[in-house]
Amino acid sequence: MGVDLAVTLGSVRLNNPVMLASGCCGYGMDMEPHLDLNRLGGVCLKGLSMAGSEGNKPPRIWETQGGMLNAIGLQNIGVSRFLAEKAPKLRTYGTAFVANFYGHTVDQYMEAARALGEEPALAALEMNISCPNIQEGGIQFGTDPASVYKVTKACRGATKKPLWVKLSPNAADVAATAKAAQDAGADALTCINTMPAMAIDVERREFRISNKVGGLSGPALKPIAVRIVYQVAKAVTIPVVGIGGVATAADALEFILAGAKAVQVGTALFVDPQCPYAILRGIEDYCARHGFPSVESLVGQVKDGAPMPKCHE
Amino acid sequence: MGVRPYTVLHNERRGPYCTLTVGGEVEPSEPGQFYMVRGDWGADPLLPRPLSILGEDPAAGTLSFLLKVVGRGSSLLFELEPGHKVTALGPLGRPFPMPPAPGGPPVALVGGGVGVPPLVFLARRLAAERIPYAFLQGARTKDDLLLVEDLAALGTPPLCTTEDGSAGAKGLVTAPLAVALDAGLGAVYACGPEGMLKAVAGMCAGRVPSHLSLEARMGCGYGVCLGCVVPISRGGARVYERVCQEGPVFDGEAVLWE
Ligand SMILES: Cc1cc2nc3c(=O)[nH]c(=O)nc-3n(C[C@H](O)[C@H](O)[C@H](O)COP(=O)(O)OP(=O)(O)OC[C@H]3O[C@@H](n4cnc5c(N)ncnc54)[C@H](O)[C@@H]3O)c2cc1C
Ligand SMILES: Cc1cc2nc3c(=O)[nH]c(=O)nc-3n(C[C@H](O)[C@H](O)[C@H](O)COP(=O)(O)O)c2cc1C
Ligand code: FES
Repeated sequence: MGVDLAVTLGSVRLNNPVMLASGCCGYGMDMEPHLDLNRLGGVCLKGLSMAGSEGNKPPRIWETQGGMLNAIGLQNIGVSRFLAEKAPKLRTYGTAFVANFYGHTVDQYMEAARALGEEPALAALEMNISCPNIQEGGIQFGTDPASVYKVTKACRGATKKPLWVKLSPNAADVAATAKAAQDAGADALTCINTMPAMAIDVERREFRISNKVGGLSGPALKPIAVRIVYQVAKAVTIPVVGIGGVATAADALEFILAGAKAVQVGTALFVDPQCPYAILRGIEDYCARHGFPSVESLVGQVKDGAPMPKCHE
Repeated sequence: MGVRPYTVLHNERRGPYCTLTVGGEVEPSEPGQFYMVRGDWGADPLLPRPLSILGEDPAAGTLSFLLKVVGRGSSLLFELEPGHKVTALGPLGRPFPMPPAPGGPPVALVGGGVGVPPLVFLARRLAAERIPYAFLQGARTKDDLLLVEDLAALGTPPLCTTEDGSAGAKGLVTAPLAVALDAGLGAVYACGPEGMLKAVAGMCAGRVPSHLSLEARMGCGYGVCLGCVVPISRGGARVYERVCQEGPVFDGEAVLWE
């Protein structure tokens, strides 16, 4: 008997738990030459804002040990161009598209949620409250539970679409921001966005990327992300999506065992755009091998004895 | 297309340079296109490295690259031995536009350092189509002149300049380019250090089309990360375009040097 790969996140049903991460797959069809989107559980599109953004000055990326820094600056074509030029093509696919969006003020978030909420091609909206790259917005919303509550509540009122909130690892208490998002009406939580980080070229005494600070992603981020998924899944009742350094089935399984219902693959796509196929196959094999009839039955199944002690050093 | 596995067939080293030939399934490609190449060394370094195609033979299933050691990734590629495995994604990017059929004025290929390999691939195509060209190569010293014999074997030996005068004329490659421009050219194709490309674009502006192959740090190589952008002038507006997708070859008059 086959393993049931489908997972449900609130009212959103995914054919399988493997999604593509925002900012790592363009507007979906950019992956087309390399990957069949219909074989994926879902696809999170590049972060959109009402006004669009030209992004940061290059250089925008730098590789670090087992990871990379990026300060793309959320370059995007804006919500209206997205709806006119990209969304109609997305309607023809059989996968769940999720529009990632952001603003610099609560009103801008609301406007984007309202406009994107009308688009039938989208299964859900994912609020980016955690992008560390834009000075005026992003980080302030994501690190403070009161701001998370306010911006989530505002967007909740602006759209009927399922609303996912993507959390920042940079909050002092991620579980508190997770609860704030849940209390404000979020349907699911995505954990995590990149970690603000820095690299310096010592010979030239220059920053490696023009924005000085960039977001760390890739394998180096994974243990932080797994810990946060575990803590957040314990703190809330809404579904959690795990993200950060997923490159193999074993990586994805760590997130699922920690409590994630689905995973997103980002940086690993740069190494191999087809890695989602192997990840999915590996999850299926694992379920079969360990006698789990479905991916859903595996969620949060890490052997969890005593509660996590407070001091971990 | 997805990444494909390849096996190293040879790796010929000379100083800090090596010519890496790999075997496997090879899609036909055009001069100026590139591959994202990586050895099977685990998660560090993580990202594949962009390398221009030096030569390809889809029928025989071979691909070759010429690279210079500049950091971690290129050092590991330099150390590869026959039999080692690599993976590569490609061909990627927009190639050099081929000049119209023979009969027009000659074109000039201007290269320096690791900008030379894609131009050697172009020279091979031009020679096959009997389109006349001049190959101008600039280097710091004679040890940095690349693929000189290969170019000569195509019937058009390169005109070389070195900064220290150790081979060819002493000076920069822009000197012979100025002469060639005065004699009349149909187009200029260039790849090399940014200073050289900027000078070439300036010399060609308003006279002949220049097709420049630019470099940028790359994440994905296939258009999704927006990590590789350069400022370009499009219809009077300044926009960021992707070196991996709209490039690596850009019209010299559109490139904004900031
Ligand atoms: C389209 C394209 C085609 C290329 N073709 C060739 C080629 O045929 N032969 C060749 O030797 N090199 C080529 N390069 C450059 C090559 O990709 C870089 O030298 C290589 O990625 C450096 O990796 P590394 O790990 O050795 O260096 P790192 O340790 O990553 O960095 C060392 C230094 O190299 C610089 N660097 C890193 N990545 C790049 C990059 N992508 N482009 C330019 N500088 C970079 C860094 O800023 C740093 O100063 C090409 C680049 C592009 C974009
Ligand atoms: C180049 C790049 C661009 C990104 N752009 C966005 C974005 O627009 N919106 C967003 O919410 N996250 C963005 N992210 C974060 C990823 O979606 C993801 O949360 C993070 O990279 C961790 O996952 P990974 O290690 O699998 O890449 C971006 C990441 C990278 C590497
Ligand atoms: S390298 Fe990713 S968009 Fe060009």
